[in-house]
Amino acid sequence: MPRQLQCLVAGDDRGGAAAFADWLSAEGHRVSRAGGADSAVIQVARRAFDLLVLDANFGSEALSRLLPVLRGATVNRAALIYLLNPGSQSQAADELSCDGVLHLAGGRSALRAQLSRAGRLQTLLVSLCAGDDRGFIAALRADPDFDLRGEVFALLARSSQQRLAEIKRDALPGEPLAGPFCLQRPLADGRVRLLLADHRGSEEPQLVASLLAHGFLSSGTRYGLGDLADRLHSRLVAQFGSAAAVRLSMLEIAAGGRCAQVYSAGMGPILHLASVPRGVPIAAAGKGDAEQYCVELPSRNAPLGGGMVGWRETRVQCIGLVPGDHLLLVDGEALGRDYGLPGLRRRVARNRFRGALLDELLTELHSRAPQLCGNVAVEWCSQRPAEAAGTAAHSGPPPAATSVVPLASAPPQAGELWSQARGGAERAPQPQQYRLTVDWEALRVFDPLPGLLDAAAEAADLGSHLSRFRSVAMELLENALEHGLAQVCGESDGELRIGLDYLGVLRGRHRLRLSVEDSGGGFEHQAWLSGERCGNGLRGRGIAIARSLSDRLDYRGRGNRVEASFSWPADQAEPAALPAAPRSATPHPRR
Amino acid sequence: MSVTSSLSSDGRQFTIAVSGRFDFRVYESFRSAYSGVSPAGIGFQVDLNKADYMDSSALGMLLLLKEYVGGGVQIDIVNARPDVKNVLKIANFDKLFQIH
Repeated sequence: MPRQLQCLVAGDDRGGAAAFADWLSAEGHRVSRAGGADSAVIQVARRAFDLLVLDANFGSEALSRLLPVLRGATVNRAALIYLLNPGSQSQAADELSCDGVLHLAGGRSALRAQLSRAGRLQTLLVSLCAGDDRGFIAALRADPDFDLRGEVFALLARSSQQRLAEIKRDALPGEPLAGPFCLQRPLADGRVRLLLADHRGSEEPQLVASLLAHGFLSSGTRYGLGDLADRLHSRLVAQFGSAAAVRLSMLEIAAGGRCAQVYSAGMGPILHLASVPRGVPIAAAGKGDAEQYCVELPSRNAPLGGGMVGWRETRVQCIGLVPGDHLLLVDGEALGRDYGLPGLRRRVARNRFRGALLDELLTELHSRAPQLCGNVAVEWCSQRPAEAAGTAAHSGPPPAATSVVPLASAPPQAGELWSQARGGAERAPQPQQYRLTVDWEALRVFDPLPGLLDAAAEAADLGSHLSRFRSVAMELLENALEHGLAQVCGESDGELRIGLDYLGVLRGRHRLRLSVEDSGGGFEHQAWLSGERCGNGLRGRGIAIARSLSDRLDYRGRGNRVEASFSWPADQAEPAALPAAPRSATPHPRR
Repeated sequence: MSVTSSLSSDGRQFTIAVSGRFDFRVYESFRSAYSGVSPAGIGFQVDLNKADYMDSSALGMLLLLKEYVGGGVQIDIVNARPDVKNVLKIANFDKLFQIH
């Protein structure tokens, strides 16, 4: 019998941590959980653990407190495993140069000696710790009822991409890389135990489990994208067997049911369906194995907890505009990367998805919504035009207004002081940042202006200043599109990066900065700004308008990045909307 | 957003009305609104009462209209909202058009 290990699973990702804890418990080990750094530190100080499992995406601040304790402790500790997906950009993993297993006190030999006394799990860990990849793989393959490939490959991928390639070539020819999502283990009665884990701070495992339990997902269900879907599906089935069909159809219904994401097992999201009104800001996680898209929704409509809050950056790679104000986002880059399908992104972009797929999904989700239980409080509403016009064709309460969730706070600039709210009762507006990156293909069908205006209105109480902000934003966006991207892109991969920084109240004035950067070659902005050049005709005067309606207009880099700054009195209830007089007497053409 | 045009009953006043966003999206419709109209002997008026806002490409469209009707014909821009009027002033269009 394997020795019973004392295990500590630490991580603020309840879903992933719970899944891993369940797995270890099922192996007969004693598992303690720590949901935060403080709890982990206390437990490590009190008890010797044989195995530590730490979520790689544990918050960096928490890690900074936890890791010194782990490293400095002399308790008997076996291994520190990070749950990582291939290509993960975990800040913690980067800081730690994580190889999947971090050797702690006792050294490798002590670790190996200890673990070698145990059973299968320990054998695997010993092989992994010893860098014996082939032995590790052999141990896996020799075990008929355990499929740990995804997790193993994830760890190995972090350890060495080259080594992984060698393993794949020599030991597992033809086996594509799998991610760490799912551990499957056939049970005695023929059922398959799916252990769903996710290193991200989401409730995805529980959600998928709920969907599975209620029969929403089945092996016969497949949502596809024509030829692309067939290829993906075939590949997954070939890799995983029939279970792949289940996982290919994994749907995440999140945040009141207005955002659905379709996942493949272990390979990150393939495509994302977002049933949202056009113009709603779309945000994505900037870290993790693959970029995850979501829309920000009011927290009260997010029954899945905080998993939808805190996205930092948006990268819209391809958007299919589906009739009925639906957006369909495709992570074409991830597809091309994970599946090795060159040119897929462009192909996906060209074959924009029409209503059939989305309608099918919406219909089925809606019809099955009552079956979903517990924390999956689905309030599905497809936001079809007829419904949006006032016909209550969907069940549940009407959707609340979508909004942008404030992102990371920005510190004040050096030497500047934050003003304090008078009387101490009111809080000073908090600095907020918004980022949006849209590629050329997406810009053909996606207008970033409405979302940007929403973000500005959300970030700062612009009041009547919204109109001049809108004018400036419109000019800068159009300039970037027409004269930045259009001149260089064609069918290429240009993109537009939009930043909005509300800096709070500085010296009694609200400060807001808008930046627009295109991937074009820039232009001779100095000549335009100085008035040396001017133009007449359809194009012109964009810079003059932007400069006049903003407090300051600065061009950066080679002229492909422009920043417009705005300020207005903090204590002015209804400030003047616009400057009284234009600053420039000379019409300036746009770029 | 839309562009409509009308000729007064006495045939002496041609009015182009823009609603919504007055930007590059209405370029074609704005241009086609007056392209068949002979400017001789009539006055031109652009009614921006329902225009939410305008951008620099709209300014260009107004310039094209001015070029079309020729220097001897006056173009009145009427009912512009304050925001829109401010954009016109920034571009010094108050020197090129009669803004009411």
